[in-house]
Amino acid sequence: MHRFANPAKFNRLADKILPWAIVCAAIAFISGIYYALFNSPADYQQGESVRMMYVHVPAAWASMSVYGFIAVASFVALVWRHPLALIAGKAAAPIGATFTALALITGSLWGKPMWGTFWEWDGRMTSVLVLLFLYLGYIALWEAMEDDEKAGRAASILALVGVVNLPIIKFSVEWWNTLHQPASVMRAGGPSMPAEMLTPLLTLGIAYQLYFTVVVLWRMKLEINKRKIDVMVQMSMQDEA
Amino acid sequence: MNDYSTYIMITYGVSGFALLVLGLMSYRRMKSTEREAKNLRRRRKERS
Repeated sequence: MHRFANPAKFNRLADKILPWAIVCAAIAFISGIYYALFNSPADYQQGESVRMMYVHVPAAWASMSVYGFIAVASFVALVWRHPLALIAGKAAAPIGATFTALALITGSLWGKPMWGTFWEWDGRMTSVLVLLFLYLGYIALWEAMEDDEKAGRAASILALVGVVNLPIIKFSVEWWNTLHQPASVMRAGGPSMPAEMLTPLLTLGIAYQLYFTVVVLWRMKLEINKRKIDVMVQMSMQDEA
Repeated sequence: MNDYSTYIMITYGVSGFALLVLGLMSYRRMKSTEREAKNLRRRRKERS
């Protein structure tokens, strides 16, 4: 793993992955949205409003998986001091925060016609809101300190402490009485929805993960470029002095 | 379309807009820093 700590090697690998990931993400988004809007049945209880599920659930899945990614990157950064791990965590945070905000917004928009309210302080919604605050806290810690090494360590510790929120989100619908429906895909006994609904849902789930792959690689390259610029500016100042 | 069409359109619109803006901003910032790093390296080479 340490051989990719070299920015040049990482950039070469990223440049090889990116075109394929972009094409696959585009195909997954186009086919997923087509299936979701035009080729999947209405729900027998929720009617046409079920089509909001196809963007809400993938955003919610991605919000949790990206946090898991940041937690693993933080662990690697703290234990093995892998230089790219801190960069990976920092690059992933705004994407995870966006997915979480989208999960909350699209969930509220789906909730209004189904439950009669945009918001309810129940276990699932509150724990996802806490996840958004964890993302914002992680980003704020990176921005609050001048020294990247110190900022990265503080943000990594916060990310690892916040991991406790992931099982709370997952099991909140079982632990507490909630308006939110229980798990219908990732549950014991297999998915409880028909294949016509599962196909667009999983396709868009993959599309969101591919989108994350593309944007996190761009943002990691961006962070590496910023560090290169800082080093070259410092070297120029030393040359002039 | 149906009673829920406004909610469905806002849901897909907000999601698409947010993902597009984040993707474009990330790509443009990555490209501009790449250009800046290349320019700085070229200037250093020219000076030395």
